[in-house]
Amino acid sequence: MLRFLASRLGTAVLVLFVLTLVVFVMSRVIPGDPAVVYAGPKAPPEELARIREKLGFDQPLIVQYVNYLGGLFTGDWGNSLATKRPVLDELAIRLPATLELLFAAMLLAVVFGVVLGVVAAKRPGRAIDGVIRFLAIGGVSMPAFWLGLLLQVLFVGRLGWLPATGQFSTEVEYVSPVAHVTGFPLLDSLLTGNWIAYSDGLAHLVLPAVTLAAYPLGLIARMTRASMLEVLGQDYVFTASAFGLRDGLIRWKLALKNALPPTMTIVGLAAAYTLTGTFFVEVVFNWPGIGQFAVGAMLAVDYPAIMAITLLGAAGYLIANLVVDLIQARLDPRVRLS
Amino acid sequence: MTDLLHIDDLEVAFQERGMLTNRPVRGITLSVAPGEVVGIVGETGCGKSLTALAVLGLLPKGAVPSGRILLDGVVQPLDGSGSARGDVISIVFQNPGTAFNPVFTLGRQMRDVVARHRRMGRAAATAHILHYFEQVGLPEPERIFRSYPHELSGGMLQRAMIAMALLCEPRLLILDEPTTALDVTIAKQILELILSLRDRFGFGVLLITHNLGVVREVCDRIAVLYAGRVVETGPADAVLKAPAHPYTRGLLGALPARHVPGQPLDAIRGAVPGNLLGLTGCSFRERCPLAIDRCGEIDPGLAPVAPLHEAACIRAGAR
Amino acid sequence: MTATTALPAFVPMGGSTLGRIGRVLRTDRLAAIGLALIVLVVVLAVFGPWLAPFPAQGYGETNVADRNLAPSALHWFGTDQLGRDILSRVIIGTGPALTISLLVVAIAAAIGIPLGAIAGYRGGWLDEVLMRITEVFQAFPPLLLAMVTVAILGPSLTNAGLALAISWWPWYARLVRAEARSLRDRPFVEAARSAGVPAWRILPRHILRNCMTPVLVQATVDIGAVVLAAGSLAFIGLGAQPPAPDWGLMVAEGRGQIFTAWWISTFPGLAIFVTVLGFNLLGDSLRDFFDPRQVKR
Repeated sequence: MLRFLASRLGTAVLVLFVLTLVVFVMSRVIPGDPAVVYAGPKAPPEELARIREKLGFDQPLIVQYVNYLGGLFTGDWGNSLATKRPVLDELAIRLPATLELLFAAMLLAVVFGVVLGVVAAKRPGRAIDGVIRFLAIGGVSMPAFWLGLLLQVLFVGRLGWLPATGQFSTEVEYVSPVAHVTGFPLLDSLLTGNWIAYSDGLAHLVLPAVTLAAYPLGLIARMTRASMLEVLGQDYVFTASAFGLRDGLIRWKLALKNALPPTMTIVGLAAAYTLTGTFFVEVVFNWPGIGQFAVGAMLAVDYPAIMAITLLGAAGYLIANLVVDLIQARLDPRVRLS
Repeated sequence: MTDLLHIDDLEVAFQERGMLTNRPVRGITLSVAPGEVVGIVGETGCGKSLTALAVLGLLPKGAVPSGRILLDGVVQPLDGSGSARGDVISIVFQNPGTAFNPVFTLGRQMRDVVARHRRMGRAAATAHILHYFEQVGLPEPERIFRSYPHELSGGMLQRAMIAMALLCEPRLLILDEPTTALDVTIAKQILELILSLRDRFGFGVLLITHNLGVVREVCDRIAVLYAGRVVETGPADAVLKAPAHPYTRGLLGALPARHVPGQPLDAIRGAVPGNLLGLTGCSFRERCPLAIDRCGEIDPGLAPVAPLHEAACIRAGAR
Repeated sequence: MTATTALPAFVPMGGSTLGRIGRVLRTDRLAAIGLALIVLVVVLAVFGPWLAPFPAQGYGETNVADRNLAPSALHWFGTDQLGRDILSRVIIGTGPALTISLLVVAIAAAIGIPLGAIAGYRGGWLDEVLMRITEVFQAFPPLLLAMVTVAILGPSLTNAGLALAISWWPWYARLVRAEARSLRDRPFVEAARSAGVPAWRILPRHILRNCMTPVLVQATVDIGAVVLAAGSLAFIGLGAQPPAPDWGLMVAEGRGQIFTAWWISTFPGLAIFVTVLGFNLLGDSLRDFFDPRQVKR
């Protein structure tokens, strides 16, 4: 177990190292002057030179890279060219909001995806299977940003049931501010029994989470169906029915536990899509997370921020895959982590 | 004494979109008395597995059964809606390596079976299961209880499978090629175990096999199946010593143990007819060395050739 | 490592690929719907300039007097904030959307297929190096690499296409490599090899030809995926720039008026959805048919 984790982490560190190199070289070799971004297009040449010196852009590339790497380890990821504040701080204050959104979306996707997949596998080729298949393929074909807007038109504009944007209503800050416990605002409001903020936060979470869940839900439903069909053809499923066990128990417990490991593989991939999905969903719902910050950074060509986001994204992807492997090992006693 | 299991004129046909596509079981009559071991023998495709599945009420989709199956004189529903399965009737499958669910411990899988058929607390169920592990001669029952299937050998798994089949004290045990996937020595031990358990618990056994050696070792009576029919039945000794139907003779002649070195193997020519719809005359005549013109006209029924010994052949006993 | 399911090789089967696709379409209603949608989109792409009611507005001509009109008999999809007919813009936008998508997939395949085939057939250090490279590419969450590339190169449709092609080719390389590896030891390839046929002739004749089915199935799905990706990039400003009739861009342009003029964003988004759905429906059925066990990526 420990050896597995160590070897996995080793690979991850290597991949991240190569990533820093790739992104660094890309950001420095390609034309475009970061000093101009920093100082603004109308800055006089002396000012630009001063900034170049201050930010180290006048040094040889290799020195710049070593400095950058050193900074990564000491917690100095550079300052955002746009906000002039440390990139790490900018990401840290936004990370909880993004993680809450990601978690809610993945929870929806896994629960409903697995249920739909099992139901579809019950009657392959029948009407219900076709409907679920259409929904699943529809989910993976849906542009998240468009789905978000449609949901806003319907549930905010027409029905007025849910708030359109943000993580909390502005009034919450005055009426019943969220105390800091874990740093995750919705979780904190629950932990401190702050029902006003909790219900408000939950209402704000529904639409973005549903929007973000559509794609992974479709993927998971298709994969669950396929692996359920394979499992249902196995001898041990026949044994279970030969011993008179009920169909519900066979499908939802005995067969499903066998079908979940391949499904978990797709969950890792789905989580990766969801990571990038936050970029679009946070923009549409004005969600105060990393995704929205990332889009701003890319439009402003904010190199330090872009590099930090790239590393964070890749790290998030690696962690997601690691978690998936651990869950798989728990589900299937034959999988040995080594 | 009433029979434990009585199969009366069982037919299994297959339908696709309302059209009859095949009829692999064409009127099988068979019975098993308590404590009796009855063997069903035949090649692949003769209908022996379908017969077992019909008894369990587990026929595949599209199968249309007819006839009657009686258990202790009570007619069983053929559509699988009865609750006898796993309770009064149990089955042991051919391949113990794939018959257990790989992601649950053996103990958990057995507890599901007990919970389905018996009202028993968790602790009582565990004790019950451990008791049967001992009955089938598994060492360290507690360890087996906590083991996953991949941690045990094929022989141990087959013993565990038999324990699982015995959990609800069945009246009838169906064994579907129980030793085919095992080593010869292990197979012998398993067969001996089944006989001793039969002596102890008194259940009847329906043994499905293509292996005449297994039949010789354990069966009291046998039924030889060909093309969905019983072509010969009687006491195992009588049938094996003096086979009356040319098909049975062919099967026995095809046994390598009886083979005289230097002589060509007396294997049966050809293969079982694939589709049994619209078959006229004797179904074996195409492959029969003794066939005469009349075999194409008459589809012979079972007729006595000796006390308790019947065969379905107009040339029975002919050389 | 955990026990991962290797992609099973496609068995070279008898019968023409086209014939088998025909069978899929006859038996699978969703596949037929998918093909119908694809045909619709292709017709719009080719004949768009003749089909659009206001072609000039489709290309960007404004008509401020008629801005933000709701859908009507004259403007089926309404008009946008500059008074342009949205139906025309959606139709005119079909051509560039499909073209860029085809180009991206073609470039990705052109890079990935030969690399994958050589790596899989030769094995050894070449294979190792190539697989490490593709792993680094695939360590990025999807689209992130493309976004970063566009951000650095500067936002435009061309750069978006380039960035997408760069982040897409490793998938083809891995797909073809897996196929090539399993084909390498098949009797018909070994026979050719032992008969002294050189690698440069075995590769196209035996390896690539037998890889084509999975590659085509993948490409079908990917054309849709690239339409979606390009639309997404344009939506956040990292793709086509105004006044181009780009679907993703149009959705972004209507965002501000979503509660007062829902049609401005809705119809261009619907165009993306319908196009992607068409390719996914067809691709999904083809994949199920050719290899039901292949893991969807």
